[in-house]
Amino acid sequence: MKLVAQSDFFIKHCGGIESLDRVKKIGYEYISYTVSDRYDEPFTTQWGDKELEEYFAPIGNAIKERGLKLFYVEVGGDIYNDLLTHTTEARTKMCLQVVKACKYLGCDTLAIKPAKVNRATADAWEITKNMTYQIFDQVKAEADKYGIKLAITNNVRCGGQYLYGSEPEELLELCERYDAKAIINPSSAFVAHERVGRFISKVGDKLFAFLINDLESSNKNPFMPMMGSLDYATIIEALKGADQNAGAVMMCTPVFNRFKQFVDHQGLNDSLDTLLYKMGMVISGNL
Amino acid sequence: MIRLGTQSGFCGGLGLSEAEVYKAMSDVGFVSVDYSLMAGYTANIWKMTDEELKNYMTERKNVMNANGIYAGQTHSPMDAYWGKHPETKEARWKAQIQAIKAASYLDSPYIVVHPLTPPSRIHKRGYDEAKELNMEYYNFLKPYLEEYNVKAAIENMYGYDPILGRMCETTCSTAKELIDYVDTLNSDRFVVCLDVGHSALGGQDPVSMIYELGNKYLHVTHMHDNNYLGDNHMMAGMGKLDWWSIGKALNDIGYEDVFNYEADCPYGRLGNYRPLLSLDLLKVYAEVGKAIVSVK
Repeated sequence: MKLVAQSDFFIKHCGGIESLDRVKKIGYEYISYTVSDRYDEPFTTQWGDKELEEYFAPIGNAIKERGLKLFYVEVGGDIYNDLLTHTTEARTKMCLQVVKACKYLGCDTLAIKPAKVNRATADAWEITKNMTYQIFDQVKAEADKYGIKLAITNNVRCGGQYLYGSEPEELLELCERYDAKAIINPSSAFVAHERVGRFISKVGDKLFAFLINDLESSNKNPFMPMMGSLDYATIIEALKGADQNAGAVMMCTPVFNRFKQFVDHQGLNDSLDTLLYKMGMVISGNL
Repeated sequence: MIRLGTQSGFCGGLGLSEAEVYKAMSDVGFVSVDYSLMAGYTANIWKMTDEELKNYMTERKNVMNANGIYAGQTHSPMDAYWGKHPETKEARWKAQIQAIKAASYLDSPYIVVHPLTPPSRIHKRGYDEAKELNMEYYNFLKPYLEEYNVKAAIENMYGYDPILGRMCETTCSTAKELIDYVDTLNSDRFVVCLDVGHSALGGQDPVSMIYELGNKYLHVTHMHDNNYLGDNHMMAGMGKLDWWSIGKALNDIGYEDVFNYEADCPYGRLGNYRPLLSLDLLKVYAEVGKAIVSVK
């Protein structure tokens, strides 16, 4: 599999786009980029086409100049929250902006997630199903205009309620409906009481990327892979049977976030970079 | 200056010699090993004669020292309390004596000796009974600590309330109780070992405990992380403890001993991939430790 580095922590907290030199030096060839109103200004609502191009195109060029390849562009969590609360008209604009950002970054795949709700109501599954269709219909319409493909990540579980898209069958249904590939977040699958190895096998050749992270049983925040509740021995075996052109995405952000107060400690950065890269090489079947 | 120490559990499955284990620790910045004297962690020292024990431990010490490591602290057997079998008390306490001798032969300045935790000592209950029991215990050990020039570090513990179904206060959970024990023993042979994970589980704030104990009492540490729900022994940063504040508190009180990890569990989670990843994880441990103790 292709080992991919999630780049947001580096770009957003460690010196901007120049930090990609660090990513390249570690050994990664592929990166993912997360577009976010929180970090990339409120581009989804306030920017025109010219501003979008002037902001994102240089980032895309900087990625290329360093010999890195953008595996996919991911839509940040903050945008999802907004998508759920905005009017249809506002939502349409946000979807268009996200797709355009992906285009200006020079990437042909946009990663999106099914809708979530914050409260575990009895009708959460139905609500998220309808909302996911509404949002994805709009994103797909915009993405088609620019030849951008979609990749869809499995949903999490909210309290005692399943949300639409958390079961492998539902993820595959969404992929079929939107001519998309699948991204598996194993922590979300675990929280949804799915066995991750089985999930990978069910998704089969639809797999576009596997997000390398873990979670501590009592805490749903992802953290360092191979250190938590997930059975990585089984996961690694299952990934061997997956499409080897798929990405194995090292989610650096949740790990480095745990050491945010020590972000300037060079030795800590270097040692974590090395460990995560090697873990990624092991999990992606390259070591 | 605070030095870094750890247990040596990272080396399982790596096929390293004893010397290579200590060299690996030293290479990444550790100077101290927390040498376990618990059954299952070392050779069967309990049946050794004094001469055999001395030779065996001296050999261990020489290997450590030749590779840049010293035994900054040791840990005695944890089963000194007899529970429902008082007839085993004598044997259990004798094992502690053997551990004290072993620590001495390693040139370890400290041996962590858990207080006895009778089940009646939970929440604020059973204080006097537990204290009386522990004063007898530690006073029994005192002459051996003096003769072998080792200090016993009394560790803060956590209990379990079966009705509430959660961890709670027990013997020496609080800084106040630890200080009371050391003051009552009135001997320079006794200091405190703060286990920050136990603090969290015993309902205490580890940072506050560091300030309450100060460098008068606090000389030994067990550093590991958890989620305030279980004794997870995770690497610092992987749980919910506030490591920046822990580092600052240690420096604020002028702590001059070892920042000692008791967090070997994550190495086991690497499973079959330990040979590929353990030494890189050890390096992360060391760098996380350096970052924490550098907080001023």
